[in-house]
Amino acid sequence: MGKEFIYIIPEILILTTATIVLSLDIFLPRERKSLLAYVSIAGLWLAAFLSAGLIGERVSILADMFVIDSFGIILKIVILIAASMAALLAIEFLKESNKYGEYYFLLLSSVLGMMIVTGSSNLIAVFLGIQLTSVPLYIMAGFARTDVKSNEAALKYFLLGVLTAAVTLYGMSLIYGMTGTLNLAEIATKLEHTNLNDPVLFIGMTFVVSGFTFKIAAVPFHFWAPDTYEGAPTPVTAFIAAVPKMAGFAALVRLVFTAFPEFTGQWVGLFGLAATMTMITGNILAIPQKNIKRMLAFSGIAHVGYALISLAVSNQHALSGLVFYMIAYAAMNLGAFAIVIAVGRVSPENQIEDFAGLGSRSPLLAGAMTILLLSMLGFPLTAGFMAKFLVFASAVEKGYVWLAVIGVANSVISLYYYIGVVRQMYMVPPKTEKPVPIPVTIGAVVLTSVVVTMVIGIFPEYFIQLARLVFLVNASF
Amino acid sequence: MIPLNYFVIFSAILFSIGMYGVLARRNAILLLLSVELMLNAVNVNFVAFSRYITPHTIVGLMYTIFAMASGAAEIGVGLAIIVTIYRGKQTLNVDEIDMLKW
Repeated sequence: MGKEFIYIIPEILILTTATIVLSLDIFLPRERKSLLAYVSIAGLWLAAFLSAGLIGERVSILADMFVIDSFGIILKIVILIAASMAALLAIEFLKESNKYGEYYFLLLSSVLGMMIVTGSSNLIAVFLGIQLTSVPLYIMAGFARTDVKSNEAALKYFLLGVLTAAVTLYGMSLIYGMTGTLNLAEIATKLEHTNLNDPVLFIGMTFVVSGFTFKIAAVPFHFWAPDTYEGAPTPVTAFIAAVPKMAGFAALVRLVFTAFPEFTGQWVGLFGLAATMTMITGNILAIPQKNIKRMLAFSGIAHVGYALISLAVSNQHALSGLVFYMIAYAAMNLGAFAIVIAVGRVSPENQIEDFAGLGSRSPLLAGAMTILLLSMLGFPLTAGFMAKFLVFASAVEKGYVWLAVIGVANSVISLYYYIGVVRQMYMVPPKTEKPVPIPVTIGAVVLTSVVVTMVIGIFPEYFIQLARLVFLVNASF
Repeated sequence: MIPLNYFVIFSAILFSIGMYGVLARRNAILLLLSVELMLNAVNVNFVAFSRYITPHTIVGLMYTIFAMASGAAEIGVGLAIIVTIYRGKQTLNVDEIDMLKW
């Protein structure tokens, strides 16, 4: 029993860091509180290194509540590093309110929840992990307490969140009633002897899956995303946009591959439809947006659509593609939102027009933004291209050419709004000549994400090999 | 003994009433109450299934306790959000809380 705790040391470390941050907050003098940010970042990086030491392990621990496999570990490392970037972005924003303690405690709790989700193999653990991820996020979305927009963002996120939590739970209760167990692997064993066309089972499964698709903001459960992204303070938006989606995808993967492998034939219909709808809705609705955060929200929805293709395909290659996509997606979005934060310090309305003339006002930021937008578009030699390539290739390989065609067609649509921002930056004369100062913390995040995007795009072999390592405990392949 | 079906049907009705409330009500607090109804429907389901389908394990009962705890945490956060929004807008009608639209 005691030996099993070695495997959850990263989780324990994050919990300890969160507790330390909250208690240090009481004792630190007001002007020293930004120290808490660096404590949190150190904790996140240490946990990432400790997790990296577990790569290659393949065990089921704590009475089969959690599994340690390379899929979970790689996603955990990506979550931890992305969260440390998001933590860095918030330092400037928190200078005014000086609420470092609360903010980083919430951020670390949410990260702990995501780590639990990625490694869970029991519906109880999945549910508790998702709740631990979401509840701090509701508070963080409303972190600018005197800003009515931020409050509204929190309320919308919260109401839709609890509604889907209730629906997910009801679905889980039906699955429990049909199978008599909550363990994902045991559910699969029990279902081998059950009539798969039972409507109650189908309702339960659909409810659970739809609850998880809410977390990744896939159509038709995407309504919260644009409003929450726009209303929440931008550093929080960066976090919500980049990190929790990985946990949502991890939960879906565990469910699809471990608990319901019998349904593989039906996932094509369900996830293929969801992917198509999500890609089209995200891309079409991104075009008329005037607010950059709203535009990035819809572009994020479209990206979820591309990634969902891999769940429709649901084989080993598709899973590698999904992990690769998550890495690229987190890098691109954190960088883009970091630039939005930097520009938003000069013109706080966050309109796309505010980027006018950025090419002359701040050539470095404009160049970085161009690279990140091209990567989101899927331009060759960027991470976004390799990610889309891997996912579409896995679809073609399994014979779902139509999914790949829809994906490519959608990338072409997305050209319109991504290039629109680039056009603003280089072709439109600036409204103000005010230069855009780049604080060190934000500059570091922009630099890291641009470097990661380029390195993955130019030398993809290493990352593809890393993604190919991905395997699941108890999966059907 | 009361048949299991009765519990399941009761819980389905409770869930549907909650769902109707969420879709039809416009006051944020009433929305929260409706969600509570849905969560309680889940608890009824879990306790009933635990008693009838797996009488020798307590997994279902355990899940009910976790669900109640996390539900309470959610409602606590929700009420805090509702209080702040009432301070700013003087209303709890979700149709009037509509600054974020395009």
